[in-house]
Amino acid sequence: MLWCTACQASLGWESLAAEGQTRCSRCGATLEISVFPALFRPMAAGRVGEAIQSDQESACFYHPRRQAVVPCESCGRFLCSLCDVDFNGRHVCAPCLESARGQGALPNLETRRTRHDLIAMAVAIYPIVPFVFPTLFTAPVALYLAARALRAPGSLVHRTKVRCILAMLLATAQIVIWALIINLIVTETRTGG
Amino acid sequence: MAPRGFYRRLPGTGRTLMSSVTLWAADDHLLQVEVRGFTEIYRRFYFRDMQAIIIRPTGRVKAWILAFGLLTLATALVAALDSGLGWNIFWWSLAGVWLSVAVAHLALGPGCECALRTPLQTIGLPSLGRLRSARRVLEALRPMIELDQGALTREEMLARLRERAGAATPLEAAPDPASPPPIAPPIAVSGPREGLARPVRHDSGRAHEVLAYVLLLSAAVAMLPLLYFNVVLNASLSLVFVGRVVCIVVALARQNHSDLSIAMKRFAWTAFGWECVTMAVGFFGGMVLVLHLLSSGRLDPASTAPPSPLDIANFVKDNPAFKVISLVSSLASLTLGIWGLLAHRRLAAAREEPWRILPT
Repeated sequence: MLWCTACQASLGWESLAAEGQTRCSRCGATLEISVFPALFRPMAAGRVGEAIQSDQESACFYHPRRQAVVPCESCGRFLCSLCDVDFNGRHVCAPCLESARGQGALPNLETRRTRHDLIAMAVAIYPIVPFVFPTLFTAPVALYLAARALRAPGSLVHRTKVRCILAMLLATAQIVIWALIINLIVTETRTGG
Repeated sequence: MAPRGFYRRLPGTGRTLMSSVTLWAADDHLLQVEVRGFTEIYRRFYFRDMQAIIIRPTGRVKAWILAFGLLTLATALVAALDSGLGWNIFWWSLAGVWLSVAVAHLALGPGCECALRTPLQTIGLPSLGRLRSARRVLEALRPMIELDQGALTREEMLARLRERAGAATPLEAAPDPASPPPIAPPIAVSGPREGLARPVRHDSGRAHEVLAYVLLLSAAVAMLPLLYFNVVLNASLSLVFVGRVVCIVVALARQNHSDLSIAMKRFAWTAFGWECVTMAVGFFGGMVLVLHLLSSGRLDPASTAPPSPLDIANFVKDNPAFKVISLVSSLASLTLGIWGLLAHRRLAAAREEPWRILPT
């Protein structure tokens, strides 16, 4: 069943069958609904592990009273049908999946990533805006962060490393300028002395 | 496992003050990327699980265009009245900024809200805030979804919908006229509005009705200061203004997550927009008033004494622009008040009617 996104009232099947725009009969909101075959697909029934019938059957590592149906392809533990996770055609247990996710080995399960390249860019640019002096300290930090961001996993969607390179160039330029200024001051002091 | 560089950017960006949301398509799923500060938050919707995509056109963009258009007019009016060259340039530049924002909104097209239905939940897609981009994304996704789920002809879909309607429980097929229609579980909205969705609450619309009456009262009294000046009367009129602001705030708070009709909600938001415009015009008008009092010598910056209220009243009375503003304000309040009352009557009438039984 589908619901109106404005008033949450259920929509009749006539609304779903209508071509183009339709109106919610409760609140009058105009809706454009595109229905796909999955709407008519019944929900898959959940699996429960079969109970062990005899001593000859292997038991699940996590549920000793349930029959093991498959070993985990990562750790080798016996799993019942309840514990068996079918992940991209591989049979694994939930702890192995969780540890692989924690190590960042499965990009498809990642829910967040830190953008180190954006941090490096921010440290390279923002200190210039209020005063120039903080860049004496922030430029080396930005250079380190940019070098680290080059090796760190970047965004899932933005593949480019151009921000890291720009941050490195900017930080290097700031360091060079500061080196020239310090050199000038030292030379002037010596000449004056 | 998806290799890097696998994703294709889809049109539309949803922005808030602290985050932005975009959509990316892979071979087998749709990825919603929300950038919050230096972190990207991902949500995946597999094509095999997509049951429906619902686009609801909204009047949000029209309201923005109207608000910025009125701001442009108000600023241009102030610029036309102001004779100082420096200020003139400032006001015309400000009017240009408002106008360009209004034109940009106009160029981007009408707004909408888009939701994606999966077997487990209905998810809002904040990046699809424009009707044009929502339709483009739908057209881009349709072949990918059909590749995963197979295509249904219109006849097949109608047949399945009829089957479903026939197989529904008696309660579903023919609801009890006295009972309210079934209410969906709250939409889980991702992105900037992420969090536990609140359930929809019943609201009688009384706050909106009071707001409509207060607007009608405002319309009646808006012209009074131009016709008759009295300090006590003017002070009491400011109470009407305060009451109007309170009513708008209460109405907006009450309608949040309520089952009020779209027209009622739109009425409260329009009243809010109009109040913002009135305040902005009042602010600019006050500045123009001070400038004119200074130039006419009736206000001495060196003196600590406040200007005479009678001087201000005479200036306001004699100035045609203030008369026009008061008249427009009165007419707008009248229109809004009538609109609010009509919307409330319509809502009350619709609630008294039994739930329409759909033909099976």
